[in-house]
Amino acid sequence: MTTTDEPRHRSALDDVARWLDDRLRLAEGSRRYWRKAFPAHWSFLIGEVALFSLVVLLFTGTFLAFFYVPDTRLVVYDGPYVPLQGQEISAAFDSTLRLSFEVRGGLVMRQIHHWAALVFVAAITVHMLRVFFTGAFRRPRELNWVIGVLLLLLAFGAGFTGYSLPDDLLSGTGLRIGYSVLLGIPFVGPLIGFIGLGGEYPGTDVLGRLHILHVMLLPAGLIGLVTAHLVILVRQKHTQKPSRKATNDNVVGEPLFPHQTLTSLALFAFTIAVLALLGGLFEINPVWLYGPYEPFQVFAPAQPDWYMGWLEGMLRLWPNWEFTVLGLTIPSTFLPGVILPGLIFTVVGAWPWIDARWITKDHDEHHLLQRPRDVPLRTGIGVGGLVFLLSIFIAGGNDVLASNTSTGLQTITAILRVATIAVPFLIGWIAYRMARGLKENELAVTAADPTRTEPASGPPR
Amino acid sequence: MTAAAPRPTPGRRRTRRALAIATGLVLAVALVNVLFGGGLATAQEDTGEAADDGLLQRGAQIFGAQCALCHGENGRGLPVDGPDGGPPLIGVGPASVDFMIRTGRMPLDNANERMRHREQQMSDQDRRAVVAYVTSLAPGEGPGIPDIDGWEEADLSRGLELFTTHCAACHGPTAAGIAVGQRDISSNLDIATPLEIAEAIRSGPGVMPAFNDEILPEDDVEAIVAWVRDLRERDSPGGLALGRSGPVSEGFIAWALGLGLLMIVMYLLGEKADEDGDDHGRA
Amino acid sequence: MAEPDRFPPATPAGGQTKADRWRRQREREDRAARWAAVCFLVAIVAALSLFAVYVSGGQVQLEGLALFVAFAGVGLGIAIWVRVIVGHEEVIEERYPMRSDDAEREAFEELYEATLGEAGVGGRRRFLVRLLTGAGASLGLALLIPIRSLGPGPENDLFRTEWDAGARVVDAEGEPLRAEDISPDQVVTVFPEGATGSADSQAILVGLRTDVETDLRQPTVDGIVVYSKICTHAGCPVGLYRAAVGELLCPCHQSTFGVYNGAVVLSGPAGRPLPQLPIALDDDGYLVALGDFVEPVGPSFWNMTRGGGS
Repeated sequence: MTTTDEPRHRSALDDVARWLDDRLRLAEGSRRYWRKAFPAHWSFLIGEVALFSLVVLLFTGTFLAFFYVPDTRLVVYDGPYVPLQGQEISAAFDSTLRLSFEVRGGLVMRQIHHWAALVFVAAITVHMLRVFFTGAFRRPRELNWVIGVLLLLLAFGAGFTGYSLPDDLLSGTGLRIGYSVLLGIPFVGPLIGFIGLGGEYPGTDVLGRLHILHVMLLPAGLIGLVTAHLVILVRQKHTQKPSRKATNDNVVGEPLFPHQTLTSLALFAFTIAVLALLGGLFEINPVWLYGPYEPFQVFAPAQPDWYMGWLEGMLRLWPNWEFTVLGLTIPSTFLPGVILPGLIFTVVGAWPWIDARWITKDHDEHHLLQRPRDVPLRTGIGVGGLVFLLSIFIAGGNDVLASNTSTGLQTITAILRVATIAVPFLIGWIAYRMARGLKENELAVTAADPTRTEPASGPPR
Repeated sequence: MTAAAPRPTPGRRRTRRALAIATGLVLAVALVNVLFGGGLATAQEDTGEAADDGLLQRGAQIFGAQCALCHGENGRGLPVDGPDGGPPLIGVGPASVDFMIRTGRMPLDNANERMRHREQQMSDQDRRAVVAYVTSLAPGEGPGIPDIDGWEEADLSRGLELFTTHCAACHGPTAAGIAVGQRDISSNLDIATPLEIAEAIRSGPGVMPAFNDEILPEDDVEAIVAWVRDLRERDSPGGLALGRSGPVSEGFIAWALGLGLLMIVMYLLGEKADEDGDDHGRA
Repeated sequence: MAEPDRFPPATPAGGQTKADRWRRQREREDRAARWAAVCFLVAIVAALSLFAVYVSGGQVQLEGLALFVAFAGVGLGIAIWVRVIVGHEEVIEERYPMRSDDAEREAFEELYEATLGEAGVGGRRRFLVRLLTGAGASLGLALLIPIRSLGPGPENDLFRTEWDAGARVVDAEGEPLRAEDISPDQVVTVFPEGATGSADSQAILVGLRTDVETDLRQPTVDGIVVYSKICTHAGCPVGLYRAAVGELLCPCHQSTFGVYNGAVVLSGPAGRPLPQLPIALDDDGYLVALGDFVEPVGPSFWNMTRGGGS
């Protein structure tokens, strides 16, 4: 199999490879993929950071799961943390404190895990924006876009359940809000709430159930969908930026081995390094200061982790519209807490079809990336949508903002209400005009330059 | 002084002696301050009862000069919605007056100013005089200056529990303060002294509710003080605490530092291709 | 696929300049290799020091730093390796449309049609397929039923709390409260006696000032009112009392309730006032409830106004 001219020292690895090939017939497939082309533009690495963060999450999470006790039963705390000694706290909170103060390496693991979760969702978001604004979701990649959106949803779920597990005052408050939003769903809300918690709030079973979701079902879903995401990616091959060499009928890039393998390994190492840096040097979620969850206690500011901020912000901004028609009450959390997020995710998930049907009117197969200016309308809508999300995200921290800017709390909320409605249209429109301007300016230049093989204006008919 | 040091010349010796005397004087003054100033302050906290006439007169004088413009003659108050309006002070109790002056919230320089925490604006002696005077307007009414000498021995664990039940909703889990309404931001308790904390609990300054000793007995106030002070001193075992402002700053760090650093790494690792795709970064 | 052209052809076609360039390239790579080696060595040292930190009792910041240095060393070493020593190489793969070509597709379709007959479900026996589908769907539904076991139905629970006629008002430590314990601007979290800490019965007792007009739905007792402490918006405890203006504020989404006006919503997203507890004094002067809240507490839900079942 090896046909190098210079004889190489034979290692045990060769023997293992031969042993495996004897049994699994691997040489042919390996040869096919060994030099698979990976377009090497740096922006294609963002998804990898998400993947590597997930790996870090799985490993640190496994360590944490060895110690965590998903139980709300009360125990008397007798660990080394003086301000809680003698207090009755749940076994879950007790185990979180034990992890933080008694298990050697436990706190750094907990902190890396939490930071990795924040970076994980951030990387997914940026990856998604890259795919969106370069049109990488177009046929044939609609399926992978939808899988990506589902991955984001699962990441939200994993994040929220994880945030709720320590059973400290902050996590309990988050859970309470989530439960209340569910409760507000017409007809089925109360039933869903009771079934979910195993009874009336706060129930006794909720931590055990969230734990199973957090350590088993959601990770299984994440791993399954990531696998599908990657298999489809290999099957469909990468998209690439158009160039003199890169066309719709080829893939120009660096080979899987050694280039891409080493690059990915380096990025993997750097991802772990950065997460370790955060986990070691920056305190995150100091639950021991917050104290155990008591349903009648609360503190301000109470924010969720950043990726839930837009949902929280929507709840804070929404007017107090509550209707009762024919004995049916629509609570004020239902529209901003259930309908609106549902709508947003539906539109985002269906975007490849919306884009093809109404924006580009192009149903052909594409492997070359676009630039934001190539489809001004999509760019405008995307930027507008992003500004909208950003605005309600900011509203999620309206109290912190009010304190730091010495502006009235209600004033900030009122400003953000207007801004959430008006600014997205404004910025979206500006983005649209800019993209169009750039495109038009360019048309004159590119008319004489045939390098851009990807037609910027619709498919050839 | 080490052996290698140059022999001091007579001139230098004189300056040195002068310096030593000066230092000694400063130290002595400081010592007196600590011994008597501080001692006096604690000894006379129970201003309520033992106020002699001299003190009362001085108090009335200062009140007339600095407080009566808004709070009215004899602390009867002026309509709050009118110009220079101020609430009546009859019966507010010593804790409230002492707190307001001690934390520099009062007296204001002009009526339109907002109360804020600052240096005390008069001497300790004058403050005691004003407290005695206002107390004399309605003796025995309103919360007295609490005695929390035992706070250092108080139960931290109870303090944390009480703090989360009674205080954290407004002051935040780490007593950092947060917007609690259109015009109000709860105080950051980092700068509050134990006595100030206790007086605030009893008197409820600004929009803060008051807690009487049926709801929070003296032990409980001491426990809360102990926890708030402990919060200030407490190390952050996890590393930099980011102002302890929770998920907002955590999210910011995750983006700016976490993903930010990784984006730089990606940029350096990957191709920064122009249209032709053959500009290969570091290579 | 092409071999990497790291080494120029041995024939010195370009003369001395080419050899020079080649040598310079070699030196560059050697230098890079040294730097990569340094990086890996640093990583080894950091990994060992992580071990040392752990053995000597552990310290979060040192652990994090050691991990950082170790992995950053590995990453940097590999990065230098791949970017300088391995260098750049380009491979070009062909790409075909994702759709199977027509011949392939037709061949499979034919095969499918042919073998479908073999399955013997065409024509008259079509009903077999339908029944099997039906069986699958029914079974699926049947298998979903155990979800129902996860919890009881809401029944009447959302309409009831632990408050009852005669229940004494106690604070978070279970101490019963008298009216004279409460002075104006006091605020206390209270529960029905025997249900201290109860999530749905938590209430907030406020001492009103005597000089402010009130507009309440339940009478006060000695200037004392008790409201449910659960926000009617998203269920957070409405723990924040702005005494000077008589407003309860929910710290989660800033719904504001006017304490002197029956806890009506003054601003924020809550859709209805906090329910007020009817209270009185018992013979020993303790505060007692006259009954449960007259409307459901906490966040609103769809059949809230229809009242409880019983």
